[in-house]
Amino acid sequence: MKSILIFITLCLLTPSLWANSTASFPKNINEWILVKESIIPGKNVELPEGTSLFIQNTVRTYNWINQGKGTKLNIYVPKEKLTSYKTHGPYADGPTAVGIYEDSNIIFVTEHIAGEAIYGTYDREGNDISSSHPSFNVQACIQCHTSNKDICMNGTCATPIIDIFQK
Amino acid sequence: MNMGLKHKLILTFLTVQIVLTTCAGYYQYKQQWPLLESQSVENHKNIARQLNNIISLSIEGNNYANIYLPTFVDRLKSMSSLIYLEVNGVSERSNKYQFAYHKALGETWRNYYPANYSASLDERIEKLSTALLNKNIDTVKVNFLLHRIEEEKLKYTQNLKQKKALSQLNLPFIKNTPAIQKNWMLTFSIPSTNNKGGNINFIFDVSPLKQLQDTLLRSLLLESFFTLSITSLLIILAIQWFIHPIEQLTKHLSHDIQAIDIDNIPAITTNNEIGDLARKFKVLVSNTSQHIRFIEELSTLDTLTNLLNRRHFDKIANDLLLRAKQHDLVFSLLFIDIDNFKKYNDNYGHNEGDVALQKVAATLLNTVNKDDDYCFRFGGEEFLVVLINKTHEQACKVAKSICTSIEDENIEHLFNQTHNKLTVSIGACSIIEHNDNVKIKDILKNADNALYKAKGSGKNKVCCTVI
Repeated sequence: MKSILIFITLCLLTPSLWANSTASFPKNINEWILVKESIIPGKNVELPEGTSLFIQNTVRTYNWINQGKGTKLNIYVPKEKLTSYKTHGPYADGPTAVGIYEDSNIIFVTEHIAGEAIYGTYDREGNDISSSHPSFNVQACIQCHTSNKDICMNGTCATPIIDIFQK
Repeated sequence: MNMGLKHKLILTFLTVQIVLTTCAGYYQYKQQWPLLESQSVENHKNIARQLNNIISLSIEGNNYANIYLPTFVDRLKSMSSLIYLEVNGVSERSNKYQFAYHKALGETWRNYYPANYSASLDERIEKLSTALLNKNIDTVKVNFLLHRIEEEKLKYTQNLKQKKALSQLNLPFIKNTPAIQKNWMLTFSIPSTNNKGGNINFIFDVSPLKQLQDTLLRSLLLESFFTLSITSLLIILAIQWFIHPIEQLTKHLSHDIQAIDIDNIPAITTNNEIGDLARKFKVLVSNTSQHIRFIEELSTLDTLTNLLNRRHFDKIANDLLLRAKQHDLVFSLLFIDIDNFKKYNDNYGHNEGDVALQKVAATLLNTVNKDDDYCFRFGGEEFLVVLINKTHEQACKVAKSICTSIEDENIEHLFNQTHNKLTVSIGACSIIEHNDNVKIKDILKNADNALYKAKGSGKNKVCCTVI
């Protein structure tokens, strides 16, 4: 009963969070370490046979970027979280990683609080663009990262898309 | 039951026709129904395949959020024939993945939770609650996370209830191969397409198939009924056409053979086996009639004199008397005996005797009215004449006329004293008033007595008497 009351209260208090980025735009990204280089293939790129359903779905969700031409995707991690990034957690509180669509001025942010991942979508100037497209929405982030527990561990993905082209 | 050929033929052909029509209908049903069934199964498999992508994606990522999405639930609900969906799979990291949907419950629910799931949720809540105590913490973010975990916990409770509710629904066992259950539920399973595999089990409502089955059966029954009706009618008409001449022939030939009109035998002009039969019957009837007539003549006539014989008198005398009585006519019997005929035979020989008898007979026939009167050779030299519709006086007159005519024949008979020629004596008896007690034998006796008197009075005489 107590948990239900907490749930209802939270529902009433935090409706605005559903639409906006939850994670904050991190400072000093330029000083972060590049840990992975990947791509979002263009609309016309045919994925290799046997590509996992998760990647097929991710590509389908984001291949509209850059007018359907795709984009380079780089992952940056703050120096102090490099070790926990390699083991996919546990993460300390604060920003954990950013994924930058280099050709499209889009930055996806992952932050952790009490071991829980939260997400945000920004441009390079730090403007919240999570409402500008359904695939930037925080719920879409949660739907993909948090819900796919066996692919995205503790909010950071285990399988970069580029790997499938390197096999 | 004694059935005619026509009825036997109709019954046989109709039985054969019913059996053939029933077999044809059954064969058609056996051909068409599996097609309809397999078409329905294929349609539902196509519906099922449309869900495979999203479900397999969810299995792969161990993703239960997908199955709670209103778009996904609405999609399942929009599949009006989908009753139940059950997913068993293995996720990318080999975790057990299970969820289900039931139309009656109207929701999807997670079917499998790890043993420590509830405790881990409490632990995460506890951790976040502790974090809230930190003054530097962004409470908005923590509350957002708390809200998300509480949502997960609520879902967990709901799913346990749904799982319990499902156990109360009587669902059939689902095999991999499609099967239509007695209650018109189609069950089958398809494999998921994720790497580690899994099964997606479906139960669809295929009750519209029952309507299709009813329609198919109705149309086949109707078709069979019309086929049966038309062919039965044709069979009856054909049999009627075939049997009718035989029936007519049978009816025509069922009369006494001598009463058969051989000039109008039915179907005799028909140019087929029935016509041949009719023609052969005509020949047979004609020959048989001739033989019968000959035999009748033999049994009716006296071979020497060609007069009717005594047997025939015995046969028809009562009928003649009855006829006279019914029409109130006088019935007269003349008993004629040749005088001293034994002496004639003894002296002139039997051959001459026979000739004399023939002459007497011929005289009798010439004297009486051949249309109304009957002449019989009663035996030896005795003759009978039956006269009907003549008064007693007229009968006596006929008797006297016979007597005179024979005398006038002048047949020599020197041993017939005083006459020296062949003469006859006649005793006549007439029934003027009919009486039920008077029989032929009485009349014969009276006539014989009268004859005796005529003989006694000198022969070549007529003695008449009445009853």
